Amino acid sequence: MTTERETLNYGPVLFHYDLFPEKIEQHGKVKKVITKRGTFALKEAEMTEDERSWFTHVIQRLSEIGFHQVVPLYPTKFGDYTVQLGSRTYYLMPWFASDERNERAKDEVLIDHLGKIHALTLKEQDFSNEVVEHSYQYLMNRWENRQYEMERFTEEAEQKTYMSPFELTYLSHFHQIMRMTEEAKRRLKEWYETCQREKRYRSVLCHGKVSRNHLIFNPTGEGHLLNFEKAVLDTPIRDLAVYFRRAAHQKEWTPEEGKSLLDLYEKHVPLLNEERGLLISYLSYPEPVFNAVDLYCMKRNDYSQIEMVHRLESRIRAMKKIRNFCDAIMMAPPPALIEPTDSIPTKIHINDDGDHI
Amino acid sequence: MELINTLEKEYELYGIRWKERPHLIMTDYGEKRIRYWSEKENLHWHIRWRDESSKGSGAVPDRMIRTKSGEPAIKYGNKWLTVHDHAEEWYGCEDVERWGQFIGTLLNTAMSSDKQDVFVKQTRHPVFDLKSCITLAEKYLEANFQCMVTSIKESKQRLDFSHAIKNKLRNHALPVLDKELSVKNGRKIFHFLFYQGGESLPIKGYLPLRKFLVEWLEQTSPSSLKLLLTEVNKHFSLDREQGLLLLAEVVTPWELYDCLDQLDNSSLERMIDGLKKYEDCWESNRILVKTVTEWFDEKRRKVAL
Repeated sequence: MTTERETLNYGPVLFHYDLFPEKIEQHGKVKKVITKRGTFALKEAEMTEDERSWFTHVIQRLSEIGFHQVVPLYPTKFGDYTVQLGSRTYYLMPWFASDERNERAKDEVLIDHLGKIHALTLKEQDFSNEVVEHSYQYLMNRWENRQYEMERFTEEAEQKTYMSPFELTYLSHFHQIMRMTEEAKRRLKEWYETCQREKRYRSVLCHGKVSRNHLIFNPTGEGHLLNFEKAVLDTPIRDLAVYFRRAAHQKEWTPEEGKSLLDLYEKHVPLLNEERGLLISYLSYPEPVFNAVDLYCMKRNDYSQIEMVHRLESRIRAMKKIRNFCDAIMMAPPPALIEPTDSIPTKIHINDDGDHI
Repeated sequence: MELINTLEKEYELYGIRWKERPHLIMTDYGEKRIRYWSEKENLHWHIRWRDESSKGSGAVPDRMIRTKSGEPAIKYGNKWLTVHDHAEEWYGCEDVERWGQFIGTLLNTAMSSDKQDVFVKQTRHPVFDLKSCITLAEKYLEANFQCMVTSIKESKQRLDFSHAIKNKLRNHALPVLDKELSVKNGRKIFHFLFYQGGESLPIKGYLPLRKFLVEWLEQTSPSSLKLLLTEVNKHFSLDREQGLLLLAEVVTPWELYDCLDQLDNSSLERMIDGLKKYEDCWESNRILVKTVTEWFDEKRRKVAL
């Protein structure tokens, strides 16, 4: 139920839309706002001024280039698409009730939409040696530093007389983890060398936070994407890596399913050889496993050993599925292109920050 | 009815009816105010300050509600027409922090006006005219009324001080502010500060803020005024040149005009009464000068410590 306090808290925001809430419900990071004028979804976010204007530009641009499967933003009565209140940014969307009948089709719709956006915004960039060099060095250094941290954790664990169950589990998979790390680095180096040789690099508008939670179905059953707060111009592999890495953690997910979803994506944007290599590189790097180790080191008192071990084992299982998926896509020829592409002006950068499970 | 029909056609507003012709209407989304503008440049200036000062500020100015096609105003006859929110409940002066943040944001916006803009360049910069005041007070000065002699003498001293600061900082830009900056324009909606701006031609310099500070002092106390300046200073620095320019405007004896307005020599009784009012008006305004100069002195001492 809405309290008077909530009405007062969100009143200054909803005032911009001439809405008076009858009821406000919390649904994750979104507020469901029930008013006499209908039901709305109010999202609260932290964005800088530049991020706000980029975010609204992305939403408008997608509509301009013909991609309409985005949850629309309602403008305020003053014509803005976001409301800034103190350090917080808010935006209002229609409320779509979740439809469980469509849950099974979610991944297909998500990948299909992603493919469409990438195809519509695909742009061959003017080759910049400086940018590619910087991106490569940045990522390689980051990966090597992480690898060094993990090797140090391993050495410290090995010196203990009695290892914890977590350390024991980690050590029993250590060589396999390091093999995947080396494979990721090798693939990244190959990508860099191919870019240097071919002097080409493609960028697209990446959603930036691809997740099943960011696809919802409207009352007519049409899937709509939302949460473009982290949208960025980057290699299409950025979105694909985030998606497949998350997907591999689902219990039922299989490399075969992943392969057929990638085929679906490639009907819109067939990947270049070096892009396929970059995808394998991103996916092979065992960042989720390293993150589980970080969590163990920093918050071991917050969780039980069994919880920590389960988390690690689940990530190692996902890593194995990822390895099989990588083997499958390495061999496959790309399917034929089915749709023409359009492009928008872009800037080039590769960024591996965040979004690792 | 013609205007109502136009509004229903142009705006996403429903159930429009007059509440108070020709300025207030009721709609299904609440009460709205209509403003009429005869000068396009003035309208653009008012759209800009309202839009800009709403960014990040805890207060909401009465921005122009956009039309269905996203325009901030519509042409109506030979004028332009804008629609705004309207609220009756007064916000009061208790929330010093919120007011300080709003005034600070407003000053930042006022300083960022396009200096090359012809309209901004031509904005009026009011100048205090002591000579005309002395002419008005001539008979009283000849009669050697003590309060008149003292106030004119002090006015000269204050004006000299103000000129000295302004001359020293003459190369520094001045804010361009809404002429009708007033505590009374602060209204309450959902417990937040909703500020109803004016329509007049803007003013260059700190005179509108001086008037606001006078009003604040009338409504509150010297300590509250100091607190307000401290809050403003958090969002718009008064530590350097702009602070001195504000001080220069505060010490300028603008209140002399109001004091002279109190005089009435139509009868002896009225003349005595007028002189009493003159003295009261002068004394109460001295508190403003004293409080603001004290605030600047205290701040300087804190920095020195």
